[in-house]
Amino acid sequence: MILGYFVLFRDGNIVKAAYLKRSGTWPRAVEHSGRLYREAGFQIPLYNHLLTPQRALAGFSFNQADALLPSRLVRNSENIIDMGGDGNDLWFVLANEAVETLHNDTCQALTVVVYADGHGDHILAVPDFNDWGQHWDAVGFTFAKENAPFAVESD
Amino acid sequence: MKTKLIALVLSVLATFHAAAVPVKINIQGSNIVVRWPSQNSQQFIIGYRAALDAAHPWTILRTNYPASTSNETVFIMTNVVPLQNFGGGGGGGAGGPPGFNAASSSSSGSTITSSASIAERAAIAEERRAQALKIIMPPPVQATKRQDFRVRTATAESAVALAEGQASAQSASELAGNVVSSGFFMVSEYYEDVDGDTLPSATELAMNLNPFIKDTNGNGIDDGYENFDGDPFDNGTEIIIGSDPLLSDANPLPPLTVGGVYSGQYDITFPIDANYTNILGPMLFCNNGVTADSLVTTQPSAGHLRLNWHSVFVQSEGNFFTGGGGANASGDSITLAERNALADAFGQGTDMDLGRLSKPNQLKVSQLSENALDYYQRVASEQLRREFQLIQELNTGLRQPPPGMTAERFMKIRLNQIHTQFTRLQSVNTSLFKRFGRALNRFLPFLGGILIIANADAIAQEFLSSMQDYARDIFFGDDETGDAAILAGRCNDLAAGSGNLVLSYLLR
Repeated sequence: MILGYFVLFRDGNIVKAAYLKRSGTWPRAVEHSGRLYREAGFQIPLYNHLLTPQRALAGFSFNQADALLPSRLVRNSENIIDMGGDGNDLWFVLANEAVETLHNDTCQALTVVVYADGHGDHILAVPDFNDWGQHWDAVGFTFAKENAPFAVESD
Repeated sequence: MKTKLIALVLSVLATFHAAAVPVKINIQGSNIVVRWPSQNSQQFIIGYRAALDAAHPWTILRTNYPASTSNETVFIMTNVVPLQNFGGGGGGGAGGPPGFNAASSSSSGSTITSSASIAERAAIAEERRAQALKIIMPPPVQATKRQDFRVRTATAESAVALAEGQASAQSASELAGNVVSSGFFMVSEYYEDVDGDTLPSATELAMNLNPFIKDTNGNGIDDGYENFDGDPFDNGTEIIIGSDPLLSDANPLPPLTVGGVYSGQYDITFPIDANYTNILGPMLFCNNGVTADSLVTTQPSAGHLRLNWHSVFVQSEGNFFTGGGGANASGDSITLAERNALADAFGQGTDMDLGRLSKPNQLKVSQLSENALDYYQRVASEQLRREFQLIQELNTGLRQPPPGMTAERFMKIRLNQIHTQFTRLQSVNTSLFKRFGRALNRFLPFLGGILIIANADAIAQEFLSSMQDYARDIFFGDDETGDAAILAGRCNDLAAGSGNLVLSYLLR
């Protein structure tokens, strides 16, 4: 059961994460910096977790995420690495860790929800559900407290 | 055979159908009208010779004659019929023209080539191609490929012998009657090797060679075995390896020096699970006949899974993975309920460093909705295609490991994900087949080829062999039907009812 979502958004030229507690379905829309982000009409079907040597969550690896490549989220963020060169292995490194030390757990988890503001920027909602029934309690990065996106349930 | 090899002796106002390819020919005034069945987008080369003697070699009338938009193409040759010879009643030749029956080809009166010269030519072919074949194919394939080449050469020669011999015999008999021979036509698809000299007709035209004559310059060496540019490879070999037969190059293999056969092996040790049977077998890829990859899983001992993979790469220019037509799964969306059901059924993916294997729960997968199964077929198929593309490009030097990552580490991620999607796709496919009678169809389009999954090593090897045969056929543009049928048959053995689907796809 999903307990919440990691919400990945761009703050300047850095991707940060907020946490959205939520046991049911994902929000229809999120709001950030006065902009409304609606479901983009596509999802990222597969993702993996990036782990620190201490096995704390350090970020995510997204597969089949080429639709995000033109997004300002990807183009303008310094902590996103296109490992496959084609959006098939897009790393969002949220912890202050070198790539060399990170372990990709290749769990092939399902479904990242994509929200779009209609102006070329996107926000992602990644289920906090590690596919073996647990949420992440060892997180190697700090959640954004200020200016974090929040769910919007109605238009 | 795609080739429409037609040598026709004209009989008075004759209209006939050949046995295999219905061909119509008639005379309108002094013009000859030739019709043959065709498909839109085909191109043809039309050859003509006035008589079957050395003084009248094949001449090319048209080099890129387009098929009509209907299902029949018409070519008209003007002012060639000697009208004064049409004097005596429209009876046509006695007994009518024989059909084109390959079974009778060897008995046709022919001065073309004896079986001994075919064998000799094949031996020459073996020798001259050995160097290229070492580069582009693994040893077991080389032998088959050479054999295939021999068969192909013989077939082409037999076809020419049949056509000309038949025409000659008919001409002799009919000239005695009230019929005049006005010449002989040959119609060939643009990319066929109609004269059997190992060069496609289109290539021969580009090289100013005659596509209907094996030895255009008459020096005793077939065009494919000539070496016009004097580099280490003959013309035919250069066509195969993708270099320019008219441009001397000390190293004419730039696309293939980064290619070749790459193999690797990784082992996973994992806790033994008595309730789970590992899915073993190959994954085979064939992309437009120029690449073939496979990943074979075996279990040398309990708790030990071995992944062997082989990558054959015989063309590096362009993106050989394009044209697959596979669904882009990122355009799909699923609901949270579907997502949760899929995640619950599949569990974790493979991580060989942790000894963790992807073990889909078949019972739960079988309870998924058809929509969810269809969705995941697209996702898994697309992911497999992408992973193999990454591996292929990494192995061939088109791609370097990303910064901060070794090639081995990058490869492990690829293989982990391949194994995960392999097992999930197998599970989804099993469910779709059992519940809806559907299987394999989602495997087919995404590669521009075919993906087969078997559950036993012996079956895997049979598939591998069949796939390689089929890949070679595509590569040579010849004899696709037979090996496609064999391949489809093997698919049918695995998933009953899939054979026709596979065959229709392969022959589309």
